[in-house]
Amino acid sequence: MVDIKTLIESAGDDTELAEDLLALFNEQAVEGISALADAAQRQDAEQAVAAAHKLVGSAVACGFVDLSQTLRRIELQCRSEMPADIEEQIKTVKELMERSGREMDRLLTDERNDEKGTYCR
Amino acid sequence: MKEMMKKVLIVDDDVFLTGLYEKLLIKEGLEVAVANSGTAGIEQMAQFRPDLVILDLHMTDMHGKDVLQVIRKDPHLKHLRVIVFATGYIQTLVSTVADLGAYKVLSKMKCKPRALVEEVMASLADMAPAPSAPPAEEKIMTLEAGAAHVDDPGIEQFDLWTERLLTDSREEFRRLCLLHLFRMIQNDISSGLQFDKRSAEYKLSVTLKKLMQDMFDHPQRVTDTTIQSLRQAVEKFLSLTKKRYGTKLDAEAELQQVMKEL
Repeated sequence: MVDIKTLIESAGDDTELAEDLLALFNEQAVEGISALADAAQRQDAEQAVAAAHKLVGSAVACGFVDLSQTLRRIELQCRSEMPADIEEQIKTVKELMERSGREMDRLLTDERNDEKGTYCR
Repeated sequence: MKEMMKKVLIVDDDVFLTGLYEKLLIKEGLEVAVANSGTAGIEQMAQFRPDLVILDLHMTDMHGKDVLQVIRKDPHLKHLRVIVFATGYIQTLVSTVADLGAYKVLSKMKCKPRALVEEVMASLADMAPAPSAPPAEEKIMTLEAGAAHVDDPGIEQFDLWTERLLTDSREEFRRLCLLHLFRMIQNDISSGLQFDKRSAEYKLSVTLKKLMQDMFDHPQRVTDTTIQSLRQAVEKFLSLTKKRYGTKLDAEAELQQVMKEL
């Protein structure tokens, strides 16, 4: 689930800026998920906590609801120990990121079309 | 005279988020500085002299709780208003920074950027000098002397002033809140002191006055629990004074209970 309203509010109610913000978040998320995967491979729970934690706040601010909750769960689990199914959970994070990113793009396009009073898909 | 821009310092190691909040706050007409580590945050506080700090807790170089401790121990920074804005369950965050005088505690999981901006603006607006404040240059030594400078806000504002008291870490502002709270019941206390010394009204008046003077002398020690005790005592006192001597036995029993709780 994504919340387009949060993303647009975060961009100061400017849909063009919201697109930039989304692009920036995508970049950060790719780096963050990669850092999380590296930490999981090294069984470094502390680094996994840091990587997940860093992404949670940004995901909330950009309206990536499901993604932020999944990352938060990973962060909390890694605080005690690296979960046995961490690889599986990271796979879920990647899928969520792709799906949510596409959904957010689509909603943002709708918003911009709506502002212009046009429709094109 | 041109009004000075209010200054906000954001201390968070998340570059993406700090960039985002910086833009949103500048848009609101604030002067904003960013520090992406706890250490840099402490340095910036001394140089930038912010009116308000937004502080993350889980930073890589230093935990936000330690930053808050440094602030509270520094005589130049100790009155600084700090909003803790961190990831985690709100109750856990509150207990983490308990007794460190955070002005507000907000969870990143629940508080979206727009809501944070609103909280910041409300906090800054609340910094304007409160009405009926005693002259700043005057050092208030006693509760009664200070209360002479403020108008009675009315007992219906009890919750408002207790909330202000509990959410503000500045010692003088806390004293000002206590003056307003005392002013609300000062006349009732004076009336209570006219009763016979063995009466419930007299004893409770003395106890309440002592309790409030103690809070006034040590405003930083006032906690949620102290306020709860005060609220119960005031409620019972006001209900007693209304009853007068109509139900004297009940009044005595209630007095015993209140004294025990205090």
